Amino acid sequence: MKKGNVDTLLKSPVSFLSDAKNGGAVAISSRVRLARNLHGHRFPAAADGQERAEIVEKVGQALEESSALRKDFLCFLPPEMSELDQEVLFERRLVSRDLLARNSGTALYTRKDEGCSIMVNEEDHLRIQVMRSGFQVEEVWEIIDRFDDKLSGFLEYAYDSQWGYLTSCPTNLGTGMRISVMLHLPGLVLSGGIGQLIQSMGKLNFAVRGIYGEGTDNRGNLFQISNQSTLGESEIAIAEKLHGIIRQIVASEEQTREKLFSGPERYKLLDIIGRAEGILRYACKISAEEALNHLSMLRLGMDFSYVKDVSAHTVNDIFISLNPAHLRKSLPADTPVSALDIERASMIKAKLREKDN
Amino acid sequence: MLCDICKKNEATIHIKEISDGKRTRTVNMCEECAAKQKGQLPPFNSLGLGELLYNLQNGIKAAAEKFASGGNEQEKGSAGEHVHNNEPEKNPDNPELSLTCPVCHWNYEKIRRDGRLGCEECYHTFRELIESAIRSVQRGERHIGKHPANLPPPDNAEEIRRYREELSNAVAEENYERAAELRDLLKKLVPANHKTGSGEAKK
Ligand SMILES: [Zn+2]
Ligand SMILES: [Zn+2]
Repeated sequence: MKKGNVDTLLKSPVSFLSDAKNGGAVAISSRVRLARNLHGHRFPAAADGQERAEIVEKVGQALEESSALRKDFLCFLPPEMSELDQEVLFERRLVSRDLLARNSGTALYTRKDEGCSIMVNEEDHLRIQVMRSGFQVEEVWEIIDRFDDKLSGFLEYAYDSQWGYLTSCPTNLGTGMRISVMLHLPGLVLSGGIGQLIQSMGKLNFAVRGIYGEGTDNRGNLFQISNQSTLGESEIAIAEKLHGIIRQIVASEEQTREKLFSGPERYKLLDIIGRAEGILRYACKISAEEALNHLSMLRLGMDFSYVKDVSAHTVNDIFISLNPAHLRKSLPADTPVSALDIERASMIKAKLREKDN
Repeated sequence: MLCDICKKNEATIHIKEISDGKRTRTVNMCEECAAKQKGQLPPFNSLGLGELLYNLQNGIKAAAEKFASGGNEQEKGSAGEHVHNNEPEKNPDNPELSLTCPVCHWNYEKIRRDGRLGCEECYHTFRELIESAIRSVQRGERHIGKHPANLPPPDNAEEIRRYREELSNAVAEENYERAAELRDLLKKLVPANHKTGSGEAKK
């Protein structure tokens, strides 16, 4: 299989952002992850480097043998990569912090378009991921279901008739499936309705969390809604339930936006959006966090056609380019860390000025 | 972590208030108290526009912690399940505490602490601990859903029965939207039961 090169990935857009709106402006992307382990091997945390290397090998072979899967997969070995390149994979949502924390016997197999990938030896032997932009939970499930079926013809999974797919942590047991949808919820954050949403999600056994870092912030008003329970319901039933919940959240976000834009808060809101655009266009120094928050407001203004001369393409491009590792990859290697906020501001400024709009 | 307000339930909602970019305080609440406090605590009613940072509960992590603690919050009081729910030091006679998995050599204490298993065999070795954890973090105790191509499908009759019941309730309540959804769902679930295998066969 071909060794992957981070610089090649950087040339194409990430899989989870699309310039076209797939089913509305609120749902940004949909993702399904399946946890799978190989029968007869200890789970990654209990296995030694040699056993983990064997597992990396086996998964790679399965991809090679299955002719339908082989052709466009790339292999990345994070332990052999620079820290900066590892971070790029993280920012593109291809690997997790847990995978990067293990310093031997891990791998990432990903299709060139990044829409389907496998982390090998994260918490489980395989974490298969399929990601698409927009609200496409059912489609994403169908793709990963077929892929998993194919792969299971070449790998013997650890499976129990009572407990289903056996996973390192019993919180993933059964289907081993985690579906998540990334939502842009500036309306619910501005109106305060988000607090109630988080509470009610917990009751329904679905989790809400920020998409960055370890679930402790709401930078950019982006939230991830995912199922918590994996045992006792079929994948289709879980997907259907999540689908219904997302539909409700999207509707309530849309209503809240409508209310904010037409109610007495209108000018307060337009002011925030206008200032956000002004800062993005003219600031000389900006952190990733601040830029994300303003970008969120800019996106909101665009959804309401209040901001007209910026394209979705530009916003998506900035959204990924402002991340620290992506930014550093676009700069000379000797750029000091202290200059990053300055470089970020000038990158954003330049992209907003580009006339691709 | 216990709820700051009632000091009784597990806190599942953590709210950090931020002012001037400085952390001022964190409020930890259970769902019950959070619902009661709604409209009183600043995070729920002030339109702080980006000043508020919700420390969103990472549900999966919380569940893992719950598992690590043996699910003892939930299981207390239910008969027959008390033994493995207690702290090991209070329970020196429990034979399960001295268990070690013959394959990965992880012991009871490590598994209880990390909330992770070392290998497939751990599922047999620590069966009781795992069963109690499953009851506290999962909605069901049996797998329903897909299966590896070379193995027989799991029995989803119970799930189908549950949705059929919900469907007849929805029809009775004239909730036609829900009924239509359930019909679609059942259409997908019923053939799944007869699916004998999918994908490429094992070579
Ligand atoms: Zn309480
Ligand atoms: Zn074991």
